Amino acid sequence: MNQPLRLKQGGRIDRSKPMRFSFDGKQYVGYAGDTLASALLANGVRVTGRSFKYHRPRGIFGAGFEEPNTLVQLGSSALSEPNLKATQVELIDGLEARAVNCWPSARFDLMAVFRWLKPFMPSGFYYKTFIWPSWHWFEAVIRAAAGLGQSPQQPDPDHYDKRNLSVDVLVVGGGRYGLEAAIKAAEEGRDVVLVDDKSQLGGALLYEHQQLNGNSLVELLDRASKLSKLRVLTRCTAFGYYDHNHVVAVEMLSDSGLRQRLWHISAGEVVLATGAIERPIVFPNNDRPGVMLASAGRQYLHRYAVMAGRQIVIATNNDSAYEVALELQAAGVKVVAVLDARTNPDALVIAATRERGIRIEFGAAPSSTRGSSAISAVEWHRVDTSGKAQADTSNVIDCDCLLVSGGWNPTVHLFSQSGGSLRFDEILQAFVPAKSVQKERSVGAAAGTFDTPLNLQPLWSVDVSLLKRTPNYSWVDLASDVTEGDLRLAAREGFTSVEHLKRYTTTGMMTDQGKTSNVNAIGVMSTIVGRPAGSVGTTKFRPPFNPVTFGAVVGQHVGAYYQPLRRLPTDELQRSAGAVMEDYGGWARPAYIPIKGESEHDAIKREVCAVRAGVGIVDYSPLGKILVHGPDAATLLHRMYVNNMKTLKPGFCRYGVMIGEDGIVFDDGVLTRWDENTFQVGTTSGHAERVTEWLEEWLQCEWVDLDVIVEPVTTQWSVIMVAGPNARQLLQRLGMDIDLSAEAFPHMTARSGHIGDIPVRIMRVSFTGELSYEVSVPWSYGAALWQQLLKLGTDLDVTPFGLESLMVMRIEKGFLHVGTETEGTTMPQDIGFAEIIAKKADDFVGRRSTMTPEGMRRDRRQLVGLAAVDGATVLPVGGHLVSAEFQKPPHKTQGYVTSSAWSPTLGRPVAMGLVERGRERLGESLIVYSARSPKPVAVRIVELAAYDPKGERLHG
Amino acid sequence: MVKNSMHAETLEARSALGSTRNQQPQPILDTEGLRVIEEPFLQIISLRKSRRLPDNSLVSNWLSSVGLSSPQTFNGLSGNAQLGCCWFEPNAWLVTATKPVAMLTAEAGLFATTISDRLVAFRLSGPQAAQVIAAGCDPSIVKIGTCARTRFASFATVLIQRWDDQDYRLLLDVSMARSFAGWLLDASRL
Repeated sequence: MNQPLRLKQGGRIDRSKPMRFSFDGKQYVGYAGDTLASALLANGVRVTGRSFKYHRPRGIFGAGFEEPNTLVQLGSSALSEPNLKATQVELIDGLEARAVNCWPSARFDLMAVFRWLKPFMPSGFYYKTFIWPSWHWFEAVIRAAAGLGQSPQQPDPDHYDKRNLSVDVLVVGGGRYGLEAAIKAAEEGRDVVLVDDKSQLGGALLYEHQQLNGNSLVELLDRASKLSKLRVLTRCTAFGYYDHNHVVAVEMLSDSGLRQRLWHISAGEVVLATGAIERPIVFPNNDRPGVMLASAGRQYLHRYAVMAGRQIVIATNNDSAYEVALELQAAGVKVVAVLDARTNPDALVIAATRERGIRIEFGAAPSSTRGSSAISAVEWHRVDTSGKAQADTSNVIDCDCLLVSGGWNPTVHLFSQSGGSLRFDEILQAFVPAKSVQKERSVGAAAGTFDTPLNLQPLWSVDVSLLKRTPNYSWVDLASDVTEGDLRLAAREGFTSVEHLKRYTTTGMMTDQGKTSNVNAIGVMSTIVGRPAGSVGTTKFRPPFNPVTFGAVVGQHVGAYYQPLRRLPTDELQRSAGAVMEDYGGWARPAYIPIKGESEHDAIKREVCAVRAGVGIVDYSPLGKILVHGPDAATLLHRMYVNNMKTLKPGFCRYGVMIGEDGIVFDDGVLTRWDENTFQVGTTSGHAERVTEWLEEWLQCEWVDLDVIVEPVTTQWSVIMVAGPNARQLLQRLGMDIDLSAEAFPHMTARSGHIGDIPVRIMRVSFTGELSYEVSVPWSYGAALWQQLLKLGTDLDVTPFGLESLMVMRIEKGFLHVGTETEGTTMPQDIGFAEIIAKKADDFVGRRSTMTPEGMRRDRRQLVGLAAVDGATVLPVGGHLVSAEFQKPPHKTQGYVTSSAWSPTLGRPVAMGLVERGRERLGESLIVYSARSPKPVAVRIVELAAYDPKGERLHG
Repeated sequence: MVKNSMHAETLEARSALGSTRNQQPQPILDTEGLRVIEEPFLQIISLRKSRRLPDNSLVSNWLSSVGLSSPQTFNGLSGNAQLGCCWFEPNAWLVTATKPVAMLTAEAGLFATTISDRLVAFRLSGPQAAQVIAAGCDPSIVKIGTCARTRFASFATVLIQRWDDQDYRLLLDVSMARSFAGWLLDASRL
């Protein structure tokens, strides 16, 4: 197929490998080595995108990550990827691309009607327009319209990898300076990694014509390839620079199935050779397709053998664009004229341009462009040194491309992210690195060092105020549709601070992060407010330097690896028995174990009844276990728990409540004293690590005089709770050397012994209200013990049960569950520990907070039982407890329902709640109101234990 | 005393990935560049020292009694992968043994705890082992003859021992064993 703007020779493309691709549904052909942008240009596609707000036609403007106009959506279905810059998309055969933010295509966009709304959508449009009557009136519509492109709806089938790397030197940027720095460091024997966002190393050497004729790049690459200490990562963009010289980069991969790799690189030294980005010139209608950065035109010429146009005009305020003019002409492209805003510049390159017969107009700048969908002519005027166009000096030149160069901005983004400070360089009229704060250095253009002087004359915008014509828009930020007029309006309204300017006008807030607009915006603002550009300052550059996919950031942390759940020793047995596994505090545990299509309700009912009438078993291994050992172990725990732990005798257990320094209940559990100096601290399943850290923190920071050793052993032991009136009978069949009789082994005691030669520890404690033992064997024997109990208890109808059944039983019994019955304000006196605190003579962590005015308030919410008056309605958890006079909300709440369930044992609902002065109000009636329930429910405040209130069963 | 009514039946231990003591574990991955295998039934002893002890001499004595020298530096290893010790906290050492060693009663000021069941051990060896380590954490934190305890990918608190250039042992909580094995397999394929 025809590629009208492709030169017959040259470029770094492989003409033997044609690549078919589509753009907006139309078929084209490019070559291997092309980017999507270069292939579109070669095919003469002028309109490649639509602007963000006003849907103005836009064309390719840059050649790399600075591109503000051409955002495309690639692929379809699950592999679809939105908002990629066409300048960064490597062309592959069969590529499907379409422009974003337009319908049906970039060339013919029905949404272009928005351009007529421009006068009504000035700076701060959102803030001014959507404040009455309420932002929420508009929110749904605005959110639906917001954003560019479409995220795929299906799961991403590709894989993403993460790697960590530690090196002596990291060099960012594979141009001349980067290559030289990397080679030097590697030759000195240091481990070096060089990253470059392009597929080939060389940076500007790949397209600067005069360098191509020499061998400098070839020589550098040859030297680099021989260095074993130098590792090169191409297609790898460093996008974040953090403390401790930690740089994060994303590498594009072509391996099947592996799409991108995220590199975390820790470097002894970082060399930033990130080059510079050319600045456009701000003038009316400077956004018309065909207007392009001069450096981009140069890259398309040399890298891809593509002409940016057939008749090209160049507008500049510095010397660098002249080299482009010469190279274009040498390649056979017609350069119609160079418009130079400077009045009398003098440089060899200018003389050479004149010698080649290229028309040069000094003191001239573009004042507008003409054309329908793309540029067909440039209008220019004479300008003074401030850039003000002079009346009656109008000229028009026909062209199909206008290359612009308003100077160069060192790419200081990573440097700024590293914490380094910037200064405004008056010669470059740009921000350059001033002071590093990490072990880093910028080199080459990134440091503001250019091989040849630019001889730049400031030109922030072409001022057309003297011209008698209808004002047109001069675009400062092409990506976010910000004009010079928007900046003037922001200034009039007081938003002159660079931080305010950015947010009020949205300059630099699109996917290109203002790479071609930020400094121009600062320059324009400086002329508006009459201050030097340097004093206007710049905003802080933040990661990412270039957009990064969520997939790359997430890496392997998806699905089961997002937050890996811990597994029980009986995990496989539970699953094979059909258990419904759920996440309980980071553990995969059985909620219930249905038999042959049982419903959740029926399964729980069966399991509860089995435990109450016979015997049940549940894998209880996740409960935290911490050994606390040493001569001061009792003292430590006495200080850490609300309860008195000094009086706990060896072989006995005690329930303990732990509170924070703020007096709020933090954890609970059963503590066992194995011998005089050794305790086993029991914690809730989700708090084992936190309690260990909490104990260590106090030992290491506050009570360094205490001689205590802390050893977490949660998963050393597999624990199976055996509960029910037949629990003892079942355990006796295990053949342990432990006397299980009620007299020898009473409630709240612990024993150790053996099953054969396997160590076993048993605590007789109960969370079900039944006779209950927690049997511990080493983790590796947990599954075998489970199977053995099922085998030995066949005639007893031993029933495995899940956590939901356990919860029902503890609610029946009125046992609290920390985190359910307690919240961020619950103190121990609210859950029945007032007397224990009063009796404890010694201090403990958090005690003082329980005695603050807040802690002593008489109307604190206290834990009580709740009974539905009708004896049938299961109370809604979270439902508010309000006075019996309640008619309709709003009404003062007096507390809420914390736990609620249908009791299969009692045949009625049971519940608990936190109620103001609840303990004083036993027998009082209240109403439970919940927005989720059809009608309020009358309840009575009752004692916590609805089942076996005297505790006779667990003592059996 | 209530007599227990049955004789104890021997329970059979299973490793985190299901091996028995009489069964050689199968490698999770065994390629030319990388071998990943669970080391089942490793004996692991946590030895902790009272902060009141003026030095580590009691620790050295205890270790020498089981045939080990003390690691010379913090995060250092002594011995070898068959019988070794790592100094992983200021007052804590971890002894690992592939064959049973008699755990001595610790003197006052020392606290030795068997945690063989608490930790699962994976052994990574081969020229690509370092790449898998680099997928989980900064590989430079664990040099030859050292150990490091770190967050590794999504897994909190993984203790890495590097016994040789291409020989790593990773120890982590047994409850994470299957997830971690799956992750290792995935990471080694990428």
